[in-house]
Amino acid sequence: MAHRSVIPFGPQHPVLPEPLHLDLVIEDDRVIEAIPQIGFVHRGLEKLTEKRDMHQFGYIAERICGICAVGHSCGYASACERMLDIEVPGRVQYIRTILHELSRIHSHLLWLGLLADAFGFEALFYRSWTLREQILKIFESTCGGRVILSINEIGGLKHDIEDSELAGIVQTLDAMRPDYDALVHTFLDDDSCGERLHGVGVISKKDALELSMVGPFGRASGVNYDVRMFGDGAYADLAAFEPIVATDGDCYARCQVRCAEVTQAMDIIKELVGKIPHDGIGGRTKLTPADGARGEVVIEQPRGEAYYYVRGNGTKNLDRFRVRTPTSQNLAGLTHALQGVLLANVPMIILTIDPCISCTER
Amino acid sequence: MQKAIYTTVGIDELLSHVQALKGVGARFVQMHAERNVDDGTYRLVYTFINVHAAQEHIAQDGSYAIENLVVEGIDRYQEIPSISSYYPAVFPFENEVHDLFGLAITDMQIDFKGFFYQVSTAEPMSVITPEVKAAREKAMKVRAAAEAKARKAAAEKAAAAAAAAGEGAASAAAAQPAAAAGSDAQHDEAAAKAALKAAEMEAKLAAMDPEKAAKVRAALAAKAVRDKQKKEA
Repeated sequence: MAHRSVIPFGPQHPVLPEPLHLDLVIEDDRVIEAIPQIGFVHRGLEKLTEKRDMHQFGYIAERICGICAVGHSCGYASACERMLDIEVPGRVQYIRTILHELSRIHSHLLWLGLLADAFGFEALFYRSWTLREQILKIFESTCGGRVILSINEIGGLKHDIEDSELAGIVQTLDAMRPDYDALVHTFLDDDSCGERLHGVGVISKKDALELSMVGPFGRASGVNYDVRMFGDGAYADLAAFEPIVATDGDCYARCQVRCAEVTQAMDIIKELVGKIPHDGIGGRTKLTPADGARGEVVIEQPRGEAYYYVRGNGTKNLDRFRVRTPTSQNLAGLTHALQGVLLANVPMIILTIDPCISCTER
Repeated sequence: MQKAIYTTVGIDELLSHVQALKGVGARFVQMHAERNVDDGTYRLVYTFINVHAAQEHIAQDGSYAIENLVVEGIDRYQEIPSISSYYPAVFPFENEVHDLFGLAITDMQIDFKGFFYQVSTAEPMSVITPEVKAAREKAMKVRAAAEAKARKAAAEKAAAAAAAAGEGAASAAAAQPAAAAGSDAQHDEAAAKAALKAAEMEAKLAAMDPEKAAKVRAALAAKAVRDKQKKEA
């Protein structure tokens, strides 16, 4: 009978930029069961609505995570606007969507770099992050910040992004395209990458649906679900939108889906810049939510579906703010993906769900 | 366009509703708890999206629904059945509700038994801070004052209308032959005066603090009863 033992993995581990702990029950060098544990850096941000009013809390919502900052800011603002029954101008929706898609590109490029680093391909890591740097420069030139943009507020935007700047974004993306295509070619067609990714951490479509998996992690297993396909806000004006889906359900498929989503995001930005309306950028509104008024919204973050909920109590503070981030939803999928894999592949599989512990430990 | 549907269910009906949603292929989105500041009970909200139905609705009218099951009025330590047998992805949220709100979820598939979060204060989300209480009380006072102002405006309007009606009645009475008008005119005038006085008193009461207004109303009612008893005697 094989020897069974438990290996603690994390919370500090070279592959994990943030603290996540796994108890890996192994038999020889194969994982039989994985039990995740989070909560090492829980910040209690949801409780902070008691001390910060709705406008102030927008800054905190944006700081839930440094990678998904734009998405959190958009999601929070949209949920509050829904609660207050505010309709924002079309230009606001377009600019929010453009920034959100740029954030998807930078998040996926960051992930691709980490993946390359995990399987020891340092040059690929550098190339991925060099491309990502161009997106951060776009953020810096249009909003003044590389990570925290602080452009959203409840009811609109703090400042506009001029048409000339939007055209500059499209130019930058066009210039990035050949380098990006070469990068994708290496990730998807190079044998050394393929050997580490093919057939590792497979999750079937049935299991992915059963485990309510979201984002590229779920779509790589054939789950045809992307919140953007519902056509909320500026997504409604796209000529067509189809979620990027793969069927193999392994680490390679997750890489494939994210690579294609970067190209898709570039196309979405180009289309929206060409159609952007000029109907103002709204502005800060008086905050008078009725007691018990609720607003909720789901958006597609780079890592998958995120849920935002706000409830008013008649004061300037919210009674309840709730954000459910993609990583917390994918924890069940992560434990399932780790069952039966070789111990050497555990870091790779953890990376391919693209865990964001900051988001989870909001 | 996203819409939200909230369906209030009892704790004993929760699992059957979840089973029905699972049966039609709804995706589990999240669950969270809320504390009712006013009565100290808890509320659980379970959120689902039926993607297939959503796509059909979008094709029809461009809107789709996020479905919520809401369990209201939960007392602390009241047992709540876990839905993890239907949706395993709920385990982080059920453990969170246990650790941060102190609610007792039973039969969780992965139960951390209170060690999911390392918190310095036990059940921190169940604590109502003095700031929240003060803000809540202030908001209630502001709301009461706004309502009182609205009542006052309505009472003043009613008083003005009553005064106008009184003048109309008096002028109509003056046009009648003097003999017939005598007692009727006096009666109408007294009624108009009484209405005006009542309206003025109502306006004063509306402007008062609600608690004080209730006391004055009670005193007036008691006085009216005493006057009536005196007359009868």
